[in-house]
Amino acid sequence: MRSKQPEPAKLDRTEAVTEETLDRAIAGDKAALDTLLRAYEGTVYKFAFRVCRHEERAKETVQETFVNVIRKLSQFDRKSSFTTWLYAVVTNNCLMQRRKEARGEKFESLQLPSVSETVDAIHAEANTEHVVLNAELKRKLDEAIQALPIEYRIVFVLRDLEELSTEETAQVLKLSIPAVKSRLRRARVFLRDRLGDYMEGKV
Amino acid sequence: MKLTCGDVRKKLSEDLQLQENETICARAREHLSHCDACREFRRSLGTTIDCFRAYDSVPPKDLHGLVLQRLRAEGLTTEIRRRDKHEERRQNEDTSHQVNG
Repeated sequence: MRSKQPEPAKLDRTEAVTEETLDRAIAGDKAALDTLLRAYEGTVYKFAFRVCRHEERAKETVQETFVNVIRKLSQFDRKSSFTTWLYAVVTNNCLMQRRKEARGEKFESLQLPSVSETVDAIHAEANTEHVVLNAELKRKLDEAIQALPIEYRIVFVLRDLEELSTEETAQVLKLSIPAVKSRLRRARVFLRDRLGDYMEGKV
Repeated sequence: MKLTCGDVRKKLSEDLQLQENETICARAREHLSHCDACREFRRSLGTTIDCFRAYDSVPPKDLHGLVLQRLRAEGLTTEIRRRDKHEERRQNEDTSHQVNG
């Protein structure tokens, strides 16, 4: 497997909706807002899942994010792309949810398996070697990324999974470029080290 | 000046494809051409990233409904309707100005 490095300085990424739809949504047009939700809810869900690795928490984060998007849409000043702004909103929601979890406010049953794990376990019982391996690898990936401090995890997800450039990531997180690079370096090495032995034998 | 394994691994963990800073990248490539351990480091780093990319969750089918339900619960769809009416009124006023003007 080869990794594709994100293109540097890709600040003008293509938006999922037109400028006109965005203008109408900012003005409060209901149909345009609906288009905006449909265009970006999948992106927000995937990002949230990649950060928290839990389907219910990801769904909750999507809902919180769009509540904030609708409330703050008129404040979107177009200094960044809409996607960059949206990533900043969803990142804040992921951080807030992490704080809630730390206080034990929600999702107290952190030890419960997510839906995908339950499905994998069912498949594993069917004794399909390929699926058993996937379930094991997924568990290892979950454990590794959840052990990574959230500040590093978010940089890893934005840069390596969402494929934002270093500059875009810095803009989303309001960090300097050296800080993004440093966090990415630490995150990648941490995850590689956590998965190292498993990768040697299984992948 | 030659790079050490530590230098090369630091560089690789920031820039796996060695695309940034041509001078250092050229030195790192030269190091990789004769260092099995650093090549293995690069391979395992790439595999780690690829595994995370491959592990995704498909958005649930009811996601849009859940978002709308939440917006309704927060009273935000009412706000959207109010803004719609405001916009409609503004457009009607513009039209009547144009007709009268």
